[in-house]
Amino acid sequence: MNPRLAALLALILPLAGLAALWATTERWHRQGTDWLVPVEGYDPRDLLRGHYIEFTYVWPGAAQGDLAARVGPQPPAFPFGACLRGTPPGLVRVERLESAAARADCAQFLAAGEVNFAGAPDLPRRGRLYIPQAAAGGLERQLADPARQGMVRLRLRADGTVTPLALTFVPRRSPASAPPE
Amino acid sequence: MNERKLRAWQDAGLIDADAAARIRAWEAGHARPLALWAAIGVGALAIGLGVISLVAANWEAVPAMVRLAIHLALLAALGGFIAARGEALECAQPWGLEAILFVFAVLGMTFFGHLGQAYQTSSPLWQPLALWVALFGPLLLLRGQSWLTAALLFVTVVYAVWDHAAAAEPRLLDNRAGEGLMSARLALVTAAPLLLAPLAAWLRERSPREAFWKRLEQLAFAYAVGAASLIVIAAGIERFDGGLMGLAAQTERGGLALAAGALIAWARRTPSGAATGLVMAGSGLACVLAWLVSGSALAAGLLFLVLWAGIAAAALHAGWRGVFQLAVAAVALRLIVLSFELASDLLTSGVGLILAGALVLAVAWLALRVSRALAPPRTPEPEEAR
Repeated sequence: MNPRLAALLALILPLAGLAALWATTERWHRQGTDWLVPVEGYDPRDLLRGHYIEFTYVWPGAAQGDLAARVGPQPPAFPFGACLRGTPPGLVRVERLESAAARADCAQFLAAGEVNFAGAPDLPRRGRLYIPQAAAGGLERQLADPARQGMVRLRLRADGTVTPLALTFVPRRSPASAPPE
Repeated sequence: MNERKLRAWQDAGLIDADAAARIRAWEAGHARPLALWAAIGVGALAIGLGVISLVAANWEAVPAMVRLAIHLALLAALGGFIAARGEALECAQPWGLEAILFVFAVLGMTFFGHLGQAYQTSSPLWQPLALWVALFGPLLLLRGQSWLTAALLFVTVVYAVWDHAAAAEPRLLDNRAGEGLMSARLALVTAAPLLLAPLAAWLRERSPREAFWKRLEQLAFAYAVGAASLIVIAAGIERFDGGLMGLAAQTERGGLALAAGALIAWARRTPSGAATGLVMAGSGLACVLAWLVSGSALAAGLLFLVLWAGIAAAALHAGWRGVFQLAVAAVALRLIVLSFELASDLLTSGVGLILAGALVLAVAWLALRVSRALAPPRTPEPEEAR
């Protein structure tokens, strides 16, 4: 190939690639169903690192998480993911899916996101939400407040992946990780 | 240039005034602007870091779409400048082109983070890095001038493969866990950056941008030697059972390094090429041998000594002064550590302490003597960029 043409193509490639990535992300962002999921700051000492907030999902009805995985003899695995039950955005519980067929029947399917400490597929555990710098202090105080339950509004895609969109708070009714509804 | 030396040589009658003047004129025209390079490196790095922190500051005041559009427009402007002025710049000021390429590539890397922030997406870090390598790699390989772009590309590749390995198998470093197939795949992926060495060795002789390819080859070479040394050190600590330290993984590494070494020796038919190829192959062999001797501190220590003695011999053959001295220092340090490993009670008694001190001094003195007496002479480095 003509070296000058190759150099020009090598310059166009990253620009076109990044623009295409942006367009794909934008299109992907618009699809999906919104749900409200209770969350906990997973490390009270390090809720805010830079300008994002990190949290742990507390999927109602699914015993999971680091502690359960380390303490229990056999932590629950979600090889086929789980099904979200309720009327969006109100999440009532998640049900463990037992087979690929059950997954196909589930309209609001949540895919297994990562492996737990035993190496088994688990529901998405940790999430991260980018927040404005000015809002960081207030959000951190509310997350630490035992009277308030953090709720993440997230968007569930057809492929079972989730994206957190916003962090809100509701008064906490029952202790710890119980869902507010 | 050393003006004092020049005057001393002139006074001693080694060169006449004409020769001194000619040397001064030649040096002025050909001086390698080391300080300039350092300043450009620091400046370009500061701009890159500044861009990252600007993106991370999350200007809520500006809508995400506008921010992303500005970011992409900046990239397009820089790209346009490279397209329009790149060739002229490459002839007149290659370091200028190098700095602009670096800023362009870093600006592109931060675009991934910016997208993630605007759309609240988070993916394992290796995915955007791998995509970055695919998008910006061709440009850097085609236009990169020196170590700045070579290091950016190589470090990103190495970071991406290791982040991928850590994401695919969280129990990566626990050498008993992990299924065989996964370990085999990850060992191959993490060893793959080695293959940049033969590519760079081949192009180094054939491209006008020798400085860039030389740096890339050196980086891949250092990755191989560094990784093999770490594996040999780890072999002295515990027995390798399976996973990423198992026999299958070490054999893959060894095979890949042997192939890379053979290709380098074939591509560069000089003493330096042969030495690079031999050390590369030797590093691969050391990984396999490390599995055999793992668990035995003495055998692993000896393997380390053999590996670095081999590197010293290769450096002598190729005339690499710095590498030879580094190898002698590594051998001396390992000898000292080995003596303490073998006789750990040396430090518990007065006589033992005296013996240990004498041993350290003797090894250090011997290393210094060997390093001074045998090291190849300093060779004038070829010019950095052209």
